Amino acid sequence: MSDIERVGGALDVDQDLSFQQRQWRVQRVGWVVMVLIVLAALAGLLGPGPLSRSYAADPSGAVAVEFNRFERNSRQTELRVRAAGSAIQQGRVRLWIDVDYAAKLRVLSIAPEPVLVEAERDRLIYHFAATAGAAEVPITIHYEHLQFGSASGRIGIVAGPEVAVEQLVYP
Amino acid sequence: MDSILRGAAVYLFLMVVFRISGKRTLSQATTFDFLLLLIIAETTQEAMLDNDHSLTHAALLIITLVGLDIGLSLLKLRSRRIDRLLDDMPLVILQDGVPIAERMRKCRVDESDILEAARSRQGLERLDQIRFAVLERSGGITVIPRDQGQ
Repeated sequence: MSDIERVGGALDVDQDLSFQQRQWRVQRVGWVVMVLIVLAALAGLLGPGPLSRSYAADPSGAVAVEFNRFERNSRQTELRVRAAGSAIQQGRVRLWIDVDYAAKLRVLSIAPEPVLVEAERDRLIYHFAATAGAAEVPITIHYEHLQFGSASGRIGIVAGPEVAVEQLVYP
Repeated sequence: MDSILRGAAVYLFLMVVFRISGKRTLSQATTFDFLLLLIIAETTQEAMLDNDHSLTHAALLIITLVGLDIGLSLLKLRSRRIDRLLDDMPLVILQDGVPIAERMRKCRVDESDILEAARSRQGLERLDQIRFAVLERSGGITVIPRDQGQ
């Protein structure tokens, strides 16, 4: 038991001051790291927040998407799509989402509710009823990610422009 | 597989956080320490269970957590380095009635903590009645009175 120190000539204790000093240094570094993590989270680097808010629009402005660049797995969140009035055809806006991206999500609800959902080989097409002549059609998709890692997808208007969505999903 | 990874990730994460935060963080010295422990337990539970409430998932999680604990305790027995790394070491924070200020500050212990331990465990009234006070690995303080062994 050579590792046991005798302190003050009386107390046998498994004490190691140099280890203790190193440990305190590591702990201080650890505290700084924890503060940095909290700051990163406040800024939105670990989930929703100012730096996470992202906006993608096609140059013509016919379709725009708002989403969080940094998301967390299983967290309920939303993606806002705004389709310009020019996207309304025969009283409908037909919005598509590529099937690979859609497979990574669980869609909880869509407002307004689509009147029809069509499945194609590589995309899902949602039909929304829209008043002809409306300046803009806002569509909100409430969803959660089903897996972590990067999630990239495309969202567009049928026979119209599309935008890319790039997200990093934390576990 | 998911259950095991979740269990292991939570176990390792908690271990790192509590090693970084120091001995005293959850020593249950105050009522609030105890509350903090409850809140952390509740928070952890959500992340570990996710949406899987099956018996299999629970069983796998428990086996993972207990298994890791057994595995690490075997490692600790074999290697003193790992033992110190995972479980910390005791530290003398008062000797012959004199508090060792620098160590106490770094471990976030003050004289009132030592006196509290002295009162509750040994019925002592003053610091000068204490021969040694040791901050144990658990975060608790043990007090050895002066007249004992002298």
